[in-house]
Parts: sequence; C-alpha cells; structure tokens
Amino acid sequence: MATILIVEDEEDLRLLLRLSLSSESYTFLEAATGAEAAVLWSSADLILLDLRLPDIDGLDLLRRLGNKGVSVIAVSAHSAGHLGAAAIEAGCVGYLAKPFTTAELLETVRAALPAAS
Amino acid sequence: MTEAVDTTAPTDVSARLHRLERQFTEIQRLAQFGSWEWDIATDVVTWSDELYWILGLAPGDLQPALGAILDRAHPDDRDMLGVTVRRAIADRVSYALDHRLVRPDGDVRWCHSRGTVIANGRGEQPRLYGVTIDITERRRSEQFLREFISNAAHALGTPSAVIVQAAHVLADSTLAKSDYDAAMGALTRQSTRLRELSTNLFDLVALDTSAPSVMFGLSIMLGPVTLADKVRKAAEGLSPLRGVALDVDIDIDIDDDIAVLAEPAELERVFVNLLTNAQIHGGPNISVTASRLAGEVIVEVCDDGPGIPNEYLQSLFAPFAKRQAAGQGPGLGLAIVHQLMRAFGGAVSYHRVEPHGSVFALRFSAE
Repeated sequence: MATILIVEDEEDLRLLLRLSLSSESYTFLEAATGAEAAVLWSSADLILLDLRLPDIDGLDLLRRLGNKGVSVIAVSAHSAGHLGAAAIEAGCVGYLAKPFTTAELLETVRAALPAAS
Repeated sequence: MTEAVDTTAPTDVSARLHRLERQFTEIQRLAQFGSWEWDIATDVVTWSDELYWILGLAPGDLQPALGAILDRAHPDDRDMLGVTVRRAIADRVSYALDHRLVRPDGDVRWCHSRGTVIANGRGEQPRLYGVTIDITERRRSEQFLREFISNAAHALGTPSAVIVQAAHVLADSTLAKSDYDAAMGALTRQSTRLRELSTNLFDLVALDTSAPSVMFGLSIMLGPVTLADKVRKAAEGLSPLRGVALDVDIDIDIDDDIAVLAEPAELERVFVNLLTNAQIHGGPNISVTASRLAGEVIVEVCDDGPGIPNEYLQSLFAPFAKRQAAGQGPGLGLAIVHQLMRAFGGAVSYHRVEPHGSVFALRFSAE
C-alpha cells in the first residue's frame, strides 16, 4: 500500500485531495509548510507538492530535499505551461494544474507510483 | 500733446523681475518640476534650481549640460533618454518620456521629461526647452496598486480553486455519505470565505484614505455609542462568522456607561475583526477592557497567544500583510480596523506583551 504525502497549505484542499483518492487504499501524510514536509519527505512513496507554500517555493524545496526513492507530482494554482516544464526540469514525474478532475488526479498518481505498489 | 513715457524706474523693473523669478522658483519647488533651456547656437545650457534639487544637487553644484543629465540617468534608461533628446534636436520635434535619475546618495527618482524645440523662424539656431517632473510618489502608488491587485487576485484565487475542486469531488456519484459531507463542508467554508473577502475588499476600497470619514462616497455619521453593547455583540457573533468554533474564552470588562464617538455598525465590525484575529492568531484567553483618559477612551483587546513577530509589525495594518498562518488566508481585517478608527477620529496601535501575548489598543474620543 503506497504512502502519499500531501504538501499543501490549504487544509480544505488537503481534505479534497484525500477524498479524491479515497477509492484507492492509500495511506496519507500531510504537511502544510515546507518545514513540515521536510520532516515527512522520506517516509512517502509519492509526494503531491503544491508549488506555492507559505515558507518556501515548492520547487526549491524539491531541489533541496531531492527525489531519491520518491516520486513527486507538482500541483499548481496556475495553468501556465512553463510551470509544468519547470516542474519536470526540477525532477517531478508529473504536473497538475488546479482545478483537476478526480479522474485526472487518479491517473497521474497511478502513473507515478511504482508498479509494485 | 503728451508723449507716452515709461515712468517705471529701472529699480522697479528689476524688483518685479526678481519677484517673478522667486515666484517661478517657488512654483517649481511646489510642483516638483525642474526646467532647462539649451541655446544650441551658443551651446549654453541653463537649469532651474528645482532641476538641481531633483538631481539631488544644490543649485550651481555643477555646470549644466545634456551630458550631465545623461550621466545621472539610470543605466537602464540612459541610452533611451539620450537617443530621444538627440532625435528631438535633429528632427525639431517634441518628446515626452518617463525615465529614472540616480541621485548622488543612490536614491532613484522616477521622472517624466518633456521637451520641445522652438525656432524663431528667422533662420537662427533653435532653442530646446524642457521640463523634468519628479513622479516618484505617483510611481510608488502605482506599484502599491499593482501589488494590491496581485494580492487580491491571489486571495480570491485560493478559495475559488478549493470551490471548483470541491465541485469535482462532489460530482462523483459513488462518494460515501461521510466523504460527501466532508466535501460539502469544504465548499461551504470556502464560499463563505470568498464572500467575506470580497465584501472586505469592497469596503476597504470604499474607505477613502484621503477622506477618512467617507465610505462609499457618504460621510460616516458619528455619534455616541455604548461601548460594552458593541463588544458583547461582536463576541457573541464570532464563531459562526468563519464557520469555525475555536475554543477561546473572551472576558469583557467594560463599564456600561462608557460611550465613544463612532458609527454603531462599523464599531461592532472593529471588534469582530480584532476578536477574530485574536481567536485565530492569539488566544486562548482574550480580554477586552476600557478606561477613560482625559476626554478619550482607551480600549485594549488582549490575548495571551504567541504575539506578532517583529518582522510583521511594520506592515501590520497594511492590506494583505504577510502575517497569516498557513491556510488562514490573507488579512484585510486589521487594515479595515485601521481605516475605521481613522474614520472615528481615533487610532489603533499594537504592542506585544512579554513573555507572550498581544495588545491592540484603540483610542476613541469620549462622548
């Protein structure tokens, strides 16, 4: 069973992400800030990373903590194309622009998780 | 036959000229515009005193010349300014442009410069006249406005994004009842937040900063208001306001006979905003006290929370000041308190209590 870390400062969005993925039997960890995320970073198989956090830019956090042993999907409030490219460049395996449908989220998460999970 | 004779004595003319010159200098100083003139035939350039001041110099500090201005132009604007002025001279056309000048102390001033070439039509070399207006303050307010709009867009964007996301979740017909209720809860909270934010934005913009007692173009009608009533009412209506019930204890210790000069509904709002702020960022023990002091009433809203860190204090009452905790959304509440207190002819200030705690002090005129 895969563990997903949701890094998102908006509590209701964390809730909605959990609900969107409730059809699968994932375990969830949550962080509202970059500092909280840093503590939980290596405990997850997959990270849903909001790009605009209160204490740090999401991609800077990724560059600092690395993506060894964990897949990172960037989540952004903007649909600007260059953000997606920057996220992939920084080492993300996927990119989602808010708002996204439950189907889009599930598809991106499934594609990002190692087949063994 | 009488002959028209100019009876004005030379000294009178000189005095009048001197007066006009002084007037001209004063007007330039007031309007913050400097002027200059270039006699192309003699290559003599003259600057008004104000132009020197705009450049951060004292009149006569250096020999006026086009090059002296270009030397002081911001490196990014220098070429554009030089090309524009030279083209105006060559083609005998007017010009107008915005550019920056750098003062000797490093202070960068935004300027609007206009120039025109005047030829006398008798084949003589033309003269170039120009004015340079210091528009730094206008630029600053434009910058402030741009940031305000950007902050407002971000502030409105966050709850909107949650609402749309909630709609996507709720569209799933296989959702369990408990999940449906949870998503609906998020939808309700965020639409309330969006509504509250847009109302606050609207009101903040309506509170005219240059005329503090005006809101929506109407004068705020001030009169004596019983303080304790409004504080109690604000405290009672607190929890449903944000859809969150936080466990805080509000102690109100105000004599029933204390009245302050205010507008009743807006006074209640001052306390709703301060108590909401204390509830979210401060707490859990909140107190409101009032004391009379030489024709004024001082009200203190205190909490025993962590206090506001130093780095946020300077912009505490500015709209969208970055002081919010994660997920709390941006603050307009304190900006509105600040504006309303000005409208009441009073003021609000903040100080931290050691080892921890916050005090918002409101100063009102007593009635």
